[in-house]
Amino acid sequence: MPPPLRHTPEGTRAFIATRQAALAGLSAALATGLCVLLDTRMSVAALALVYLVAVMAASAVLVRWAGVLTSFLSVSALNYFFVPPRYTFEVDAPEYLLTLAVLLAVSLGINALVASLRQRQALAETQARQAAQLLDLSEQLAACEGALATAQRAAGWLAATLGRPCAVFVRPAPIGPAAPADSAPHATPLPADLQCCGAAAGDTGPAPDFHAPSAAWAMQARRALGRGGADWPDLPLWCAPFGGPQPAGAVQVLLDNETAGVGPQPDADTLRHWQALARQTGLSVERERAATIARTAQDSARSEALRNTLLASLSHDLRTPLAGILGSASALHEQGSVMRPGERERLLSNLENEARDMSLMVDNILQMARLTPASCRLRLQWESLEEIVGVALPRLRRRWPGARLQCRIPKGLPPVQAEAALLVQVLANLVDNAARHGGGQAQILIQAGRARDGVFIAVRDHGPGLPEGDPHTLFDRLRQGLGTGQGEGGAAGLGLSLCDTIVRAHGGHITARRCTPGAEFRIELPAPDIALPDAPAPGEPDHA
Amino acid sequence: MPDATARPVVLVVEDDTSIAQFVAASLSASGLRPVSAGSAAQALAALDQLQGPHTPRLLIIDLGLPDRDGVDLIAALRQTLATPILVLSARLQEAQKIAALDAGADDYLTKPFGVGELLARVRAQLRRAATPATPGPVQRIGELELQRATRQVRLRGQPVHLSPIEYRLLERLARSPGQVVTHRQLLADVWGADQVDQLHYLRIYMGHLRARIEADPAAPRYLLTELGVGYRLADE
Repeated sequence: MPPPLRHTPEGTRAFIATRQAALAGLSAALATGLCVLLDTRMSVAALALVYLVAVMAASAVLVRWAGVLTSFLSVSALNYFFVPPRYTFEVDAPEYLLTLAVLLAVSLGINALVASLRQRQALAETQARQAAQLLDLSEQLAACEGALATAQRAAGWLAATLGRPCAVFVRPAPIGPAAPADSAPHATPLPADLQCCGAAAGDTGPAPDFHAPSAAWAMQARRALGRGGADWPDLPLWCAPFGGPQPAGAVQVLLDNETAGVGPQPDADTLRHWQALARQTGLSVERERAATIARTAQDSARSEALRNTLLASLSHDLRTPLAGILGSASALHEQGSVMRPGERERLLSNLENEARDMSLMVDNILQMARLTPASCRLRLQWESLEEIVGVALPRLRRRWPGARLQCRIPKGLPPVQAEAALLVQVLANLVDNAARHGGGQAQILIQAGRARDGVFIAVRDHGPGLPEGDPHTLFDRLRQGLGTGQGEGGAAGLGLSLCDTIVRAHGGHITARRCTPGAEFRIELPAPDIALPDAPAPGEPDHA
Repeated sequence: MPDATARPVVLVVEDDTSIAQFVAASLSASGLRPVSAGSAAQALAALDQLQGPHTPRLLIIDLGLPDRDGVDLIAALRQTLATPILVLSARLQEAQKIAALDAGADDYLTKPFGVGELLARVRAQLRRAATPATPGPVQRIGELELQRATRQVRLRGQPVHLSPIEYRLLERLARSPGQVVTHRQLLADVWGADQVDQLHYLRIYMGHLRARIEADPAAPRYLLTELGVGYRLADE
């Protein structure tokens, strides 16, 4: 890649040329001066060597044409001042002619050598810079996650590096066979979902207008277009597709912009490099897209497994009360008239209890389904723990008439941001769990209070305690797929898992610990500081 | 058993047959005359037909009707009817339930519900419709006594000191004892229409009020919580 082209005014260019010519003349003059000093003692051939040194120095420092000029000036000066007859351009001996010819040939050779060396060096530098840019681009893009983020980063990098507005167009999903690319870019049908990630060259200025149709054309035709290329060279932009038989995107560089006016035409070497950058961008975007697809597949496989576990445990837990309901109902329907009143009464109350159990379980399932995707949103409102416990308590007392349920809640707890029905469900699940393990005669204490960063509610029982192992796995049992067994998994597993899900969704956490005797489940919830309107409304007389 | 035509008529607007049958059966069993309607259109037609002594004394309206939004129906009915309206809502219709109350419904029941809950709500609404709407100067609920003229509150004969906001909160609930008052209605009436989103005021002042009136604030006797909906003052 050549050094960035600058718009050099004519005056500056003439000044540089004059200076080069002057330096060429100066080196020839210096050599001539030195030769004058050496003249009496040295032969013409030796003086020619002095001029050779001047030519070498000049071609090392000056541009090529100035080096050539130095060569001719030197040969002319040697001829004029030192070759007899002196002060003429005539040469009287073939020996001198040879000397002059050799001097000219050698100095032109030096010039050519230096020029070719310089060219190679420039090429090597360009290639090294291009390689470094490619490497930098791929490193930058490796850090991105997601195809669109990669494209956006690539556009930003290209704009900053090339100094021009750049865009990366990405098609979210591969499409069918490419249409023949015989229509103009303006007439190419735009894929509806072609997304443009653009970036301006600098931090300032409005976002430039990129040209989506030419990106679509490049993707269809699978070749670059725009100024400097064979296709559509009149467009003020350059656009190249990603690699591959069905490019999933394209890179676009705007060559003209409002601030710089009509930009120069990039040369073939630059365009090759840009093409390489476009390919690299394409590779990164494709890699990210493949990674996203793989992640999605993995996630769906995991959620599939979770769903299967859930279904297995639920169908067991739902079938149990369902069997009771169906049995009792059919018995009452067919034999109700001949049953003893007490028997009928018992069946009816079983029916009611089983249905109530099932209703609770269905609530749990519904909430679990609602809360499981990470995107779920809670309907948070300011709630008071006192009220939440107050609502849960009578329901739980009805549900577990044999259990001794107590609660201890201090006055003046701050309100929390919560979805009340969910917290009631958490409490219900924890008390259910305690009561089930306490064998219906459980002693259960619900406590609330201030915690370090908010408030807590704790459910303490005097039952047999927690099973062996890390208490926290209790909440994960369902998630880990261990809840398929009888008893411990299923309803209880779902209940505790749901507690964990709900409390986390509220920004809190739930812990379980062993007590002597029994166990304690503790929920901590954040309680932000809130301002209160302590002044009564205007016009309100205070009464005593 | 009174004559069938003399029994108070209750219009049940519910499209689910098994719930409609269960509600109708329990209403008949407790001395009422249920009239069923499976859609909003049928309900409006029935209201046109039932005139004079057959005019419904209570409407029970399910929020998930096939032909019209329940909240919309309630708002339309409220323009011409003062009959109490009891709303039936499914578990996941929280927002709709509150909208129905704000639109003029008097009470609600969340499915699934038992017959006990249903009949308690129905009786409360019928009783309220029969008694004058404006509460007297002195109102007694259990051991709680509210004197509007002097803004005095007594519990078991002892005066209770309430802050102005606490008093207004209690007074607002006491205007319709036994009836649920939504958070929005309470905030608008006590704090002002521009404060209807400041639910935490309500939570905190309700906590204060309970601390002054209730023996056990976590198991309130007077100031009952309607989770996610509002509050109601016990009516006996």
